[in-house]
Amino acid sequence: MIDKKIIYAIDLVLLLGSLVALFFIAGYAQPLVIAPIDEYSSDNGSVLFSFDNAERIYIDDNAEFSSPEIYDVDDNFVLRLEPGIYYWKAEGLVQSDVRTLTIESRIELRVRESDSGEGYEVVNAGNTVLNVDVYDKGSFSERIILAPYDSEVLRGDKFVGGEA
Amino acid sequence: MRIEKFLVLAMIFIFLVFSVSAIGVTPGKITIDYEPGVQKHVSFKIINSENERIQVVLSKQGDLANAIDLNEREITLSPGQTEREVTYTVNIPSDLSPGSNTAQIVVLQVPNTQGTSEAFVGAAVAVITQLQINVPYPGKYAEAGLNIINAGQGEDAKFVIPVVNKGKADLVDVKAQVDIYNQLNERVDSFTTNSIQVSQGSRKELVYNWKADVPPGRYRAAVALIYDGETINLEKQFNVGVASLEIREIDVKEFNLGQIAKFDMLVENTWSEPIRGLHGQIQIFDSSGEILADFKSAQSDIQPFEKEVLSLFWDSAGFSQGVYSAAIYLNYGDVSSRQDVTFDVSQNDVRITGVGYVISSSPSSGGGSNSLVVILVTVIIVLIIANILWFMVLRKKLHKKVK
Repeated sequence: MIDKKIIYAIDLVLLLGSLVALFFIAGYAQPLVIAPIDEYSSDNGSVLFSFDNAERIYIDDNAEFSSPEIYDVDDNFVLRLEPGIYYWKAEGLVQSDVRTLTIESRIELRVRESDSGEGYEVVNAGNTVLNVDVYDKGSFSERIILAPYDSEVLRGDKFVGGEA
Repeated sequence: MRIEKFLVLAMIFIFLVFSVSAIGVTPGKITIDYEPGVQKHVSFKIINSENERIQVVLSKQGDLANAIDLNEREITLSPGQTEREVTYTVNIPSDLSPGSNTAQIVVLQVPNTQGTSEAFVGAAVAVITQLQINVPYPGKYAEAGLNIINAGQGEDAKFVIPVVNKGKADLVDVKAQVDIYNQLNERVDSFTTNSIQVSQGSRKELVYNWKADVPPGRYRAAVALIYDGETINLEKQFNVGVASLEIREIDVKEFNLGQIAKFDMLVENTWSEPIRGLHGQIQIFDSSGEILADFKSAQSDIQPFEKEVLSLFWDSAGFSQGVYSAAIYLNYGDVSSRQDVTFDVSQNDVRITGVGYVISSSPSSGGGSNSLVVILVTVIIVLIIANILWFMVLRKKLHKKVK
Protein backbone atom coordinates (compact mmCIF):
# COMPACT_ATOMS: atom_id res chain seq x y z
CA MET A 1 0.00 0.00 0.00
CA ILE A 2 1.45 3.38 -0.95
CA ASP A 3 1.38 5.98 1.73
CA LYS A 4 0.32 9.58 0.98
CA LYS A 5 3.62 10.70 2.47
CA ILE A 6 5.48 8.95 -0.34
CA ILE A 7 3.41 10.81 -2.94
CA TYR A 8 4.14 14.13 -1.25
CA ALA A 9 7.82 13.18 -1.04
CA ILE A 10 7.89 12.47 -4.78
CA ASP A 11 6.09 15.82 -5.37
CA LEU A 12 8.75 17.58 -3.33
CA VAL A 13 11.69 15.81 -4.97
CA LEU A 14 10.35 16.51 -8.46
CA LEU A 15 9.59 20.17 -7.80
CA LEU A 16 12.87 20.86 -6.00
CA GLY A 17 14.80 18.88 -8.62
CA SER A 18 13.16 20.88 -11.41
CA LEU A 19 13.87 24.17 -9.66
CA VAL A 20 17.53 23.28 -9.03
CA ALA A 21 17.96 22.09 -12.63
CA LEU A 22 16.37 25.26 -14.01
CA PHE A 23 18.56 27.36 -11.71
CA PHE A 24 21.71 25.71 -13.09
CA ILE A 25 20.48 25.89 -16.69
CA ALA A 26 19.73 29.60 -16.30
CA GLY A 27 23.18 30.18 -14.78
CA TYR A 28 24.88 28.19 -17.50
CA ALA A 29 23.00 29.88 -20.29
CA GLN A 30 23.95 33.36 -19.11
CA PRO A 31 27.19 34.53 -20.77
CA LEU A 32 29.99 34.95 -18.27
CA VAL A 33 31.62 38.25 -19.15
CA ILE A 34 35.05 38.66 -17.57
CA ALA A 35 36.78 41.53 -19.32
CA PRO A 36 36.84 44.38 -19.95
CA ILE A 37 35.11 45.45 -16.76
CA ASP A 38 32.10 47.76 -16.94
CA GLU A 39 33.13 51.41 -17.45
CA TYR A 40 36.63 50.33 -18.45
CA SER A 41 38.74 53.28 -19.55
CA SER A 42 42.16 53.35 -21.17
CA ASP A 43 44.22 55.18 -23.74
CA ASN A 44 45.33 51.84 -25.17
CA GLY A 45 43.08 50.98 -28.09
CA SER A 46 43.83 47.23 -27.94
CA VAL A 47 41.14 45.74 -25.76
CA LEU A 48 40.99 42.11 -24.65
CA PHE A 49 37.46 40.71 -24.58
CA SER A 50 37.30 37.74 -22.26
CA PHE A 51 34.10 35.77 -21.78
CA ASP A 52 32.56 32.33 -21.52
CA ASN A 53 29.26 30.81 -22.68
CA ALA A 54 29.01 33.30 -25.53
CA GLU A 55 29.68 33.14 -29.23
CA ARG A 56 28.99 36.66 -30.44
CA ILE A 57 30.02 40.14 -29.35
CA TYR A 58 28.07 43.28 -30.24
CA ILE A 59 29.82 46.66 -30.09
CA ASP A 60 28.24 50.01 -30.84
CA ASP A 61 28.60 53.67 -30.04
CA ASN A 62 25.07 53.85 -28.70
CA ALA A 63 23.22 51.89 -26.05
CA GLU A 64 20.41 50.97 -28.46
CA PHE A 65 22.87 48.99 -30.62
CA SER A 66 21.25 50.48 -33.71
CA SER A 67 24.28 49.92 -35.95
CA PRO A 68 26.47 47.40 -34.15
CA GLU A 69 29.70 45.78 -35.24
CA ILE A 70 29.15 42.05 -34.76
CA TYR A 71 32.04 39.70 -34.02
CA ASP A 72 31.40 35.96 -34.27
CA VAL A 73 33.97 34.46 -31.96
CA ASP A 74 34.21 31.41 -29.78
CA ASP A 75 37.00 32.52 -27.50
CA ASN A 76 38.73 35.54 -26.07
CA PHE A 77 39.91 38.06 -28.62
CA VAL A 78 41.67 41.40 -28.87
CA LEU A 79 40.10 44.27 -30.74
CA ARG A 80 41.69 47.56 -31.74
CA LEU A 81 39.31 50.44 -31.16
CA GLU A 82 39.48 54.10 -32.08
CA PRO A 83 39.10 56.64 -29.26
CA GLY A 84 35.48 56.94 -28.18
CA ILE A 85 32.79 55.56 -25.91
CA TYR A 86 31.52 52.09 -26.73
CA TYR A 87 28.66 49.88 -25.56
CA TRP A 88 29.09 46.14 -25.80
CA LYS A 89 27.41 42.89 -24.87
CA ALA A 90 27.99 39.19 -25.34
CA GLU A 91 25.45 36.78 -26.74
CA GLY A 92 25.21 33.05 -26.20
CA LEU A 93 21.91 31.36 -25.49
CA VAL A 94 20.87 34.68 -23.99
CA GLN A 95 22.46 38.12 -23.97
CA SER A 96 24.64 39.53 -21.22
CA ASP A 97 24.15 42.91 -19.59
CA VAL A 98 25.40 45.89 -21.59
CA ARG A 99 28.79 47.21 -20.53
CA THR A 100 30.52 50.43 -21.53
CA LEU A 101 34.16 51.09 -22.28
CA THR A 102 36.03 54.26 -23.13
CA ILE A 103 39.15 54.60 -25.23
CA GLU A 104 40.67 57.95 -24.37
CA SER A 105 42.49 59.82 -27.08
CA ARG A 106 46.24 60.08 -26.55
CA ILE A 107 48.17 62.90 -28.16
CA GLU A 108 51.83 62.02 -28.49
CA LEU A 109 54.55 63.43 -30.69
CA ARG A 110 58.03 61.99 -31.18
CA VAL A 111 60.65 64.09 -32.88
CA ARG A 112 64.15 63.16 -33.94
CA GLU A 113 66.63 64.47 -36.41
CA SER A 114 66.09 62.95 -39.82
CA ASP A 115 68.62 60.45 -41.15
CA SER A 116 69.67 62.93 -43.81
CA GLY A 117 70.30 65.58 -41.16
CA GLU A 118 67.94 67.99 -42.88
CA GLY A 119 64.87 68.67 -40.82
CA TYR A 120 63.18 66.44 -38.26
CA GLU A 121 61.23 63.24 -38.48
CA VAL A 122 57.96 63.91 -36.67
CA VAL A 123 55.98 60.83 -35.64
CA ASN A 124 52.38 60.69 -34.45
CA ALA A 125 52.84 58.16 -31.62
CA GLY A 126 49.33 58.65 -30.27
CA ASN A 127 46.07 56.93 -31.18
CA THR A 128 44.22 59.71 -32.98
CA VAL A 129 44.69 61.87 -36.05
CA LEU A 130 46.74 64.96 -35.24
CA ASN A 131 47.03 68.48 -36.57
CA VAL A 132 50.73 69.28 -36.29
CA ASP A 133 51.60 72.99 -36.41
CA VAL A 134 55.14 73.69 -37.55
CA TYR A 135 56.94 76.86 -36.44
CA ASP A 136 60.25 78.17 -37.71
CA LYS A 137 62.10 80.95 -35.89
CA GLY A 138 59.00 81.89 -33.95
CA SER A 139 56.67 82.12 -36.96
CA PHE A 140 53.93 79.71 -37.96
CA SER A 141 55.12 77.84 -41.01
CA GLU A 142 52.54 75.17 -41.91
CA ARG A 143 49.97 72.71 -40.57
CA ILE A 144 50.07 69.05 -41.52
CA ILE A 145 47.76 66.17 -40.67
CA LEU A 146 49.31 62.99 -39.34
CA ALA A 147 47.43 59.70 -38.93
CA PRO A 148 48.39 57.47 -35.99
CA TYR A 149 51.90 56.00 -36.43
CA ASP A 150 52.50 58.08 -39.54
CA SER A 151 55.61 60.20 -39.78
CA GLU A 152 56.86 63.01 -41.93
CA VAL A 153 60.16 64.85 -42.28
CA LEU A 154 59.59 68.54 -41.55
CA ARG A 155 61.72 71.66 -41.37
CA GLY A 156 61.19 73.90 -38.37
CA ASP A 157 62.23 74.37 -34.76
CA LYS A 158 58.93 73.83 -32.95
CA PHE A 159 56.20 71.23 -33.48
CA VAL A 160 52.83 71.41 -31.75
CA GLY A 161 50.39 68.49 -31.98
CA GLY A 162 46.70 68.59 -31.16
CA GLU A 163 43.64 66.47 -31.91
CA ALA A 164 42.35 67.10 -35.42
CA MET B 1 93.90 57.29 -25.99
CA ARG B 2 93.02 57.74 -29.63
CA ILE B 3 90.73 54.72 -29.50
CA GLU B 4 88.98 56.09 -26.40
CA LYS B 5 88.46 59.45 -28.09
CA PHE B 6 87.11 57.68 -31.13
CA LEU B 7 84.64 55.70 -28.99
CA VAL B 8 83.44 58.85 -27.21
CA LEU B 9 82.94 60.62 -30.55
CA ALA B 10 81.14 57.56 -31.91
CA MET B 11 78.81 57.53 -28.88
CA ILE B 12 78.05 61.24 -29.35
CA PHE B 13 77.37 60.59 -33.03
CA ILE B 14 74.98 57.74 -32.20
CA PHE B 15 73.19 59.99 -29.69
CA LEU B 16 72.96 62.75 -32.28
CA VAL B 17 71.45 60.38 -34.80
CA PHE B 18 69.06 58.44 -32.61
CA SER B 19 68.07 60.78 -29.77
CA VAL B 20 64.35 61.31 -29.61
CA SER B 21 62.24 63.97 -28.04
CA ALA B 22 58.77 62.79 -27.10
CA ILE B 23 55.85 63.98 -25.05
CA GLY B 24 52.19 63.08 -24.79
CA VAL B 25 48.93 63.95 -23.09
CA THR B 26 45.71 62.03 -22.53
CA PRO B 27 42.88 62.60 -23.13
CA GLY B 28 43.31 64.82 -26.15
CA LYS B 29 39.89 66.39 -25.67
CA ILE B 30 37.59 66.77 -22.67
CA THR B 31 33.98 67.86 -23.10
CA ILE B 32 32.02 69.17 -20.13
CA ASP B 33 28.40 70.21 -19.74
CA TYR B 34 27.53 73.87 -19.74
CA GLU B 35 26.65 74.90 -16.19
CA PRO B 36 26.92 78.71 -16.00
CA GLY B 37 28.78 80.03 -12.97
CA VAL B 38 29.94 76.61 -11.81
CA GLN B 39 33.57 75.88 -10.97
CA LYS B 40 34.95 72.55 -12.14
CA HIS B 41 38.23 70.73 -11.74
CA VAL B 42 39.48 68.97 -14.84
CA SER B 43 42.36 66.48 -15.00
CA PHE B 44 44.60 65.14 -17.72
CA LYS B 45 47.84 63.17 -17.80
CA ILE B 46 51.24 64.11 -19.18
CA ILE B 47 53.00 61.07 -20.67
CA ASN B 48 56.76 60.68 -20.46
CA SER B 49 57.12 57.77 -22.86
CA GLU B 50 60.90 58.10 -23.20
CA ASN B 51 61.34 57.68 -19.44
CA GLU B 52 63.72 60.62 -19.23
CA ARG B 53 63.92 63.65 -17.01
CA ILE B 54 61.76 66.20 -18.76
CA GLN B 55 60.60 69.63 -17.83
CA VAL B 56 57.35 70.96 -19.23
CA VAL B 57 55.67 74.34 -19.23
CA LEU B 58 51.89 74.67 -19.33
CA SER B 59 50.08 77.51 -21.05
CA LYS B 60 46.51 78.14 -22.21
CA GLN B 61 44.92 79.58 -25.32
CA GLY B 62 41.56 79.74 -27.09
CA ASP B 63 38.10 81.25 -26.44
CA LEU B 64 37.89 79.87 -22.92
CA ALA B 65 41.47 80.66 -21.87
CA ASN B 66 40.37 83.36 -19.43
CA ALA B 67 38.07 80.89 -17.69
CA ILE B 68 40.94 78.52 -16.87
CA ASP B 69 43.24 78.67 -13.85
CA LEU B 70 46.32 76.53 -14.24
CA ASN B 71 47.29 75.34 -10.79
CA GLU B 72 50.78 74.42 -12.01
CA ARG B 73 52.77 76.04 -14.76
CA GLU B 74 56.08 74.18 -14.62
CA ILE B 75 56.36 70.47 -14.00
CA THR B 76 59.35 68.16 -13.92
CA LEU B 77 59.00 64.44 -14.60
CA SER B 78 61.89 62.27 -13.47
CA PRO B 79 63.16 59.15 -15.24
CA GLY B 80 60.83 56.28 -14.42
CA GLN B 81 57.88 58.62 -13.93
CA THR B 82 55.98 57.60 -17.04
CA GLU B 83 52.99 59.85 -16.41
CA ARG B 84 51.83 62.67 -14.21
CA GLU B 85 48.27 63.83 -13.56
CA VAL B 86 47.62 67.55 -13.79
CA THR B 87 44.47 69.30 -12.60
CA TYR B 88 43.25 72.73 -13.61
CA THR B 89 40.22 74.77 -12.63
CA VAL B 90 37.49 75.98 -15.00
CA ASN B 91 35.18 78.79 -13.95
CA ILE B 92 32.39 78.31 -16.47
CA PRO B 93 31.29 81.75 -17.69
CA SER B 94 27.59 82.53 -17.74
CA ASP B 95 27.74 84.46 -21.01
CA LEU B 96 29.04 81.84 -23.44
CA SER B 97 27.59 81.88 -26.92
CA PRO B 98 25.66 78.83 -28.19
CA GLY B 99 27.73 76.13 -29.83
CA SER B 100 31.17 74.78 -29.10
CA ASN B 101 33.48 76.87 -26.92
CA THR B 102 37.04 75.63 -26.56
CA ALA B 103 40.33 76.19 -24.82
CA GLN B 104 43.66 74.53 -25.39
CA ILE B 105 46.18 73.62 -22.71
CA VAL B 106 49.60 73.57 -24.37
CA VAL B 107 52.20 71.31 -22.78
CA LEU B 108 55.63 72.36 -24.04
CA GLN B 109 58.70 70.27 -23.37
CA VAL B 110 61.43 72.67 -22.28
CA PRO B 111 64.70 72.16 -24.18
CA ASN B 112 67.18 70.81 -21.66
CA THR B 113 70.75 72.01 -21.97
CA GLN B 114 71.99 69.58 -19.32
CA GLY B 115 72.72 66.81 -21.76
CA THR B 116 69.46 65.00 -22.28
CA SER B 117 68.24 64.09 -25.71
CA GLU B 118 66.30 67.30 -26.15
CA ALA B 119 69.57 69.24 -26.31
CA PHE B 120 70.59 67.06 -29.22
CA VAL B 121 67.23 67.14 -30.98
CA GLY B 122 67.32 70.90 -30.97
CA ALA B 123 63.61 71.41 -31.66
CA ALA B 124 60.83 72.17 -29.21
CA VAL B 125 57.92 69.75 -28.99
CA ALA B 126 54.48 70.54 -27.60
CA VAL B 127 51.15 68.75 -27.38
CA ILE B 128 47.68 70.11 -26.76
CA THR B 129 44.79 68.84 -24.68
CA GLN B 130 41.52 70.59 -25.48
CA LEU B 131 38.64 71.60 -23.25
CA GLN B 132 35.27 71.89 -24.94
CA ILE B 133 32.03 73.25 -23.51
CA ASN B 134 28.95 72.76 -25.65
CA VAL B 135 26.39 75.46 -24.99
CA PRO B 136 22.83 74.50 -26.02
CA TYR B 137 21.20 76.55 -28.77
CA PRO B 138 17.94 78.30 -27.93
CA GLY B 139 14.81 76.38 -28.90
CA LYS B 140 15.11 73.28 -31.06
CA TYR B 141 18.45 72.59 -32.69
CA ALA B 142 19.97 69.39 -34.05
CA GLU B 143 23.17 68.37 -35.74
CA ALA B 144 23.34 65.26 -37.88
CA GLY B 145 25.72 63.10 -39.87
CA LEU B 146 25.32 60.46 -42.56
CA ASN B 147 27.05 57.10 -42.77
CA ILE B 148 26.27 54.59 -45.50
CA ILE B 149 27.62 51.07 -45.38
CA ASN B 150 28.08 49.89 -48.96
CA ALA B 151 26.38 46.72 -50.10
CA GLY B 152 26.45 44.31 -52.98
CA GLN B 153 23.71 44.29 -55.60
CA GLY B 154 20.47 43.00 -54.10
CA GLU B 155 21.83 43.29 -50.57
CA ASP B 156 20.92 45.78 -47.87
CA ALA B 157 22.88 49.04 -47.74
CA LYS B 158 22.71 50.39 -44.20
CA PHE B 159 21.96 54.08 -43.76
CA VAL B 160 22.94 55.38 -40.32
CA ILE B 161 22.04 58.98 -39.48
CA PRO B 162 23.28 60.04 -36.05
CA VAL B 163 21.30 62.97 -34.63
CA VAL B 164 22.57 65.07 -31.73
CA ASN B 165 20.10 67.34 -29.95
CA LYS B 166 22.10 70.51 -29.22
CA GLY B 167 19.09 72.66 -28.42
CA LYS B 168 17.30 73.46 -25.17
CA ALA B 169 14.17 71.43 -25.99
CA ASP B 170 13.42 67.78 -26.65
CA LEU B 171 12.91 66.76 -30.29
CA VAL B 172 9.72 64.73 -30.56
CA ASP B 173 9.54 63.88 -34.26
CA VAL B 174 12.83 63.21 -36.03
CA LYS B 175 12.85 61.36 -39.33
CA ALA B 176 14.70 61.39 -42.65
CA GLN B 177 13.48 61.50 -46.23
CA VAL B 178 16.10 59.90 -48.49
CA ASP B 179 16.35 60.08 -52.28
CA ILE B 180 18.82 57.89 -54.19
CA TYR B 181 20.25 59.15 -57.47
CA ASN B 182 22.37 57.34 -60.06
CA GLN B 183 25.30 58.85 -61.93
CA LEU B 184 22.95 60.32 -64.55
CA ASN B 185 21.29 62.19 -61.68
CA GLU B 186 18.08 60.19 -62.11
CA ARG B 187 16.20 59.36 -58.94
CA VAL B 188 16.14 55.58 -58.65
CA ASP B 189 14.47 55.17 -55.27
CA SER B 190 13.17 57.03 -52.21
CA PHE B 191 12.32 56.08 -48.68
CA THR B 192 11.43 57.61 -45.34
CA THR B 193 12.82 56.33 -42.07
CA ASN B 194 10.76 55.76 -38.96
CA SER B 195 10.35 58.65 -36.54
CA ILE B 196 12.29 58.85 -33.26
CA GLN B 197 12.50 61.19 -30.28
CA VAL B 198 15.78 62.74 -29.18
CA SER B 199 15.89 64.28 -25.73
CA GLN B 200 17.91 67.38 -24.92
CA GLY B 201 21.66 66.82 -25.02
CA SER B 202 21.42 63.22 -26.22
CA ARG B 203 22.45 61.44 -29.40
CA LYS B 204 20.39 58.86 -31.26
CA GLU B 205 20.58 57.16 -34.63
CA LEU B 206 18.10 56.74 -37.44
CA VAL B 207 18.87 53.43 -39.13
CA TYR B 208 17.41 52.14 -42.38
CA ASN B 209 18.32 49.07 -44.41
CA TRP B 210 17.79 49.93 -48.06
CA LYS B 211 17.60 47.00 -50.47
CA ALA B 212 19.99 47.80 -53.30
CA ASP B 213 17.93 46.40 -56.19
CA VAL B 214 19.82 48.57 -58.65
CA PRO B 215 22.70 47.92 -61.07
CA PRO B 216 26.20 48.01 -59.54
CA GLY B 217 27.79 51.44 -59.56
CA ARG B 218 28.16 54.70 -57.75
CA TYR B 219 25.10 56.43 -56.26
CA ARG B 220 24.30 59.60 -54.37
CA ALA B 221 22.03 59.79 -51.37
CA ALA B 222 20.28 63.11 -50.71
CA VAL B 223 18.91 63.16 -47.18
CA ALA B 224 16.49 65.65 -45.70
CA LEU B 225 16.54 65.23 -41.93
CA ILE B 226 13.31 66.67 -40.60
CA TYR B 227 12.99 67.46 -36.90
CA ASP B 228 9.93 69.23 -35.52
CA GLY B 229 9.51 71.33 -38.67
CA GLU B 230 13.20 72.12 -39.20
CA THR B 231 15.30 70.49 -41.94
CA ILE B 232 18.95 69.57 -42.33
CA ASN B 233 20.16 68.52 -45.79
CA LEU B 234 22.89 65.91 -46.08
CA GLU B 235 24.50 64.22 -49.08
CA LYS B 236 26.84 61.33 -49.56
CA GLN B 237 28.14 59.13 -52.37
CA PHE B 238 28.10 55.37 -51.94
CA ASN B 239 28.70 52.23 -53.96
CA VAL B 240 26.54 49.27 -54.84
CA GLY B 241 28.53 46.14 -55.57
CA VAL B 242 31.90 47.83 -55.60
CA ALA B 243 33.08 46.21 -52.41
CA SER B 244 34.39 43.69 -54.84
CA LEU B 245 36.95 41.57 -53.05
CA GLU B 246 36.12 39.08 -50.39
CA ILE B 247 38.45 36.92 -48.34
CA ARG B 248 36.95 33.45 -48.55
CA GLU B 249 39.54 31.53 -46.58
CA ILE B 250 42.95 31.78 -44.99
CA ASP B 251 44.86 28.54 -44.79
CA VAL B 252 47.98 28.14 -42.65
CA LYS B 253 49.46 24.69 -43.08
CA GLU B 254 51.97 23.06 -40.73
CA PHE B 255 52.45 26.10 -38.52
CA ASN B 256 55.41 25.98 -36.15
CA LEU B 257 56.03 29.00 -33.95
CA GLY B 258 59.49 30.39 -34.57
CA GLN B 259 59.59 29.30 -38.19
CA ILE B 260 58.38 30.86 -41.40
CA ALA B 261 54.65 30.31 -41.85
CA LYS B 262 52.86 30.38 -45.19
CA PHE B 263 49.44 32.02 -45.29
CA ASP B 264 47.33 31.09 -48.33
CA MET B 265 44.62 33.73 -48.61
CA LEU B 266 41.78 32.81 -50.98
CA VAL B 267 40.30 36.02 -52.40
CA GLU B 268 37.23 36.25 -54.61
CA ASN B 269 36.55 39.04 -57.09
CA THR B 270 32.79 39.61 -56.90
CA TRP B 271 32.98 42.64 -59.20
CA SER B 272 32.13 42.48 -62.88
CA GLU B 273 35.53 43.77 -64.00
CA PRO B 274 39.04 42.35 -63.61
CA ILE B 275 41.14 43.68 -60.76
CA ARG B 276 44.79 44.16 -61.56
CA GLY B 277 47.79 44.55 -59.31
CA LEU B 278 46.16 43.09 -56.23
CA HIS B 279 48.33 42.21 -53.28
CA GLY B 280 47.54 41.14 -49.75
CA GLN B 281 49.21 42.53 -46.66
CA ILE B 282 49.09 41.53 -43.02
CA GLN B 283 50.22 43.64 -40.08
CA ILE B 284 50.49 42.19 -36.58
CA PHE B 285 50.42 44.53 -33.59
CA ASP B 286 51.50 44.36 -29.97
CA SER B 287 49.18 45.36 -27.13
CA SER B 288 50.08 49.03 -27.52
CA GLY B 289 49.34 49.02 -31.25
CA GLU B 290 52.97 49.02 -32.43
CA ILE B 291 53.59 47.02 -35.60
CA LEU B 292 55.46 43.80 -34.82
CA ALA B 293 55.31 42.27 -38.29
CA ASP B 294 54.35 43.54 -41.72
CA PHE B 295 54.37 41.17 -44.68
CA LYS B 296 52.93 41.24 -48.20
CA SER B 297 52.08 38.89 -51.02
CA ALA B 298 53.22 39.20 -54.62
CA GLN B 299 50.97 41.14 -57.00
CA SER B 300 48.26 39.29 -58.85
CA ASP B 301 45.36 39.89 -61.26
CA ILE B 302 41.89 38.44 -60.63
CA GLN B 303 39.35 37.98 -63.40
CA PRO B 304 35.65 38.79 -62.77
CA PHE B 305 33.91 36.39 -60.37
CA GLU B 306 37.04 34.26 -60.03
CA LYS B 307 39.10 33.28 -57.02
CA GLU B 308 42.83 33.65 -56.53
CA VAL B 309 45.20 32.48 -53.80
CA LEU B 310 47.59 35.10 -52.44
CA SER B 311 50.52 33.63 -50.52
CA LEU B 312 52.10 35.56 -47.67
CA PHE B 313 55.09 34.47 -45.60
CA TRP B 314 55.43 35.37 -41.93
CA ASP B 315 58.68 34.88 -40.08
CA SER B 316 57.32 34.07 -36.61
CA ALA B 317 60.79 34.01 -34.99
CA GLY B 318 60.77 36.12 -31.86
CA PHE B 319 57.03 35.82 -31.35
CA SER B 320 55.65 34.11 -28.28
CA GLN B 321 52.38 32.27 -27.84
CA GLY B 322 49.44 34.58 -27.22
CA VAL B 323 46.73 36.67 -28.76
CA TYR B 324 47.72 39.45 -31.17
CA SER B 325 45.56 41.98 -32.94
CA ALA B 326 46.21 42.20 -36.67
CA ALA B 327 44.97 43.84 -39.84
CA ILE B 328 44.57 42.21 -43.24
CA TYR B 329 44.72 44.54 -46.23
CA LEU B 330 43.74 43.95 -49.83
CA ASN B 331 45.43 46.62 -51.93
CA TYR B 332 45.04 47.43 -55.62
CA GLY B 333 45.55 50.72 -57.40
CA ASP B 334 44.61 53.45 -54.97
CA VAL B 335 42.15 51.22 -53.16
CA SER B 336 42.93 49.57 -49.85
CA SER B 337 40.42 47.60 -47.80
CA ARG B 338 41.18 46.64 -44.24
CA GLN B 339 39.89 43.80 -42.12
CA ASP B 340 40.72 43.80 -38.38
CA VAL B 341 41.35 40.32 -37.06
CA THR B 342 42.91 38.53 -34.12
CA PHE B 343 45.76 36.01 -34.28
CA ASP B 344 45.65 33.42 -31.52
CA VAL B 345 49.12 31.95 -31.77
CA SER B 346 50.08 28.69 -30.12
CA GLN B 347 53.11 26.45 -30.72
CA ASN B 348 51.60 24.47 -33.59
CA ASP B 349 48.54 26.45 -34.53
CA VAL B 350 47.42 29.93 -35.44
CA ARG B 351 43.73 30.79 -35.29
CA ILE B 352 42.57 33.88 -37.13
CA THR B 353 39.38 35.46 -35.89
CA GLY B 354 37.75 38.36 -37.66
CA VAL B 355 34.54 40.23 -38.19
CA GLY B 356 31.72 37.86 -38.79
CA TYR B 357 33.81 34.75 -39.22
CA VAL B 358 36.47 32.55 -37.68
CA ILE B 359 39.28 31.28 -39.84
CA SER B 360 41.52 28.62 -38.45
CA SER B 361 44.53 26.65 -39.52
CA SER B 362 43.27 23.69 -37.54
CA PRO B 363 39.90 21.97 -37.57
CA SER B 364 37.43 24.23 -35.83
CA SER B 365 36.62 23.51 -32.25
CA GLY B 366 33.20 25.01 -32.88
CA GLY B 367 30.03 23.04 -32.30
CA GLY B 368 30.54 22.99 -28.55
CA SER B 369 27.99 25.69 -28.14
CA ASN B 370 25.49 23.84 -30.33
CA SER B 371 25.91 20.62 -28.39
CA LEU B 372 25.43 22.62 -25.19
CA VAL B 373 22.14 23.92 -26.56
CA VAL B 374 21.08 20.35 -27.37
CA ILE B 375 21.97 19.18 -23.85
CA LEU B 376 20.16 22.06 -22.16
CA VAL B 377 17.07 21.72 -24.34
CA THR B 378 17.04 17.95 -23.69
CA VAL B 379 17.24 18.50 -19.94
CA ILE B 380 14.36 20.98 -20.07
CA ILE B 381 12.24 18.61 -22.18
CA VAL B 382 12.96 15.70 -19.80
CA LEU B 383 11.95 17.88 -16.87
CA ILE B 384 8.71 18.93 -18.54
CA ILE B 385 7.83 15.32 -19.48
CA ALA B 386 8.68 14.07 -15.97
CA ASN B 387 6.51 16.75 -14.38
CA ILE B 388 3.58 16.14 -16.77
CA LEU B 389 3.81 12.37 -16.33
CA TRP B 390 3.93 12.63 -12.60
CA PHE B 391 1.35 15.32 -11.92
CA MET B 392 -1.08 14.48 -14.71
CA VAL B 393 -0.92 10.68 -14.77
CA LEU B 394 1.08 8.74 -12.17
CA ARG B 395 0.18 10.87 -9.19
CA LYS B 396 -3.57 10.60 -9.89
CA LYS B 397 -3.33 6.82 -10.24
CA LEU B 398 -1.35 6.45 -7.01
CA HIS B 399 -3.73 8.81 -5.23
CA LYS B 400 -6.67 6.60 -6.21
CA LYS B 401 -4.86 3.53 -4.93
CA VAL B 402 -4.19 5.23 -1.61
CA LYS B 403 -7.88 6.05 -1.27
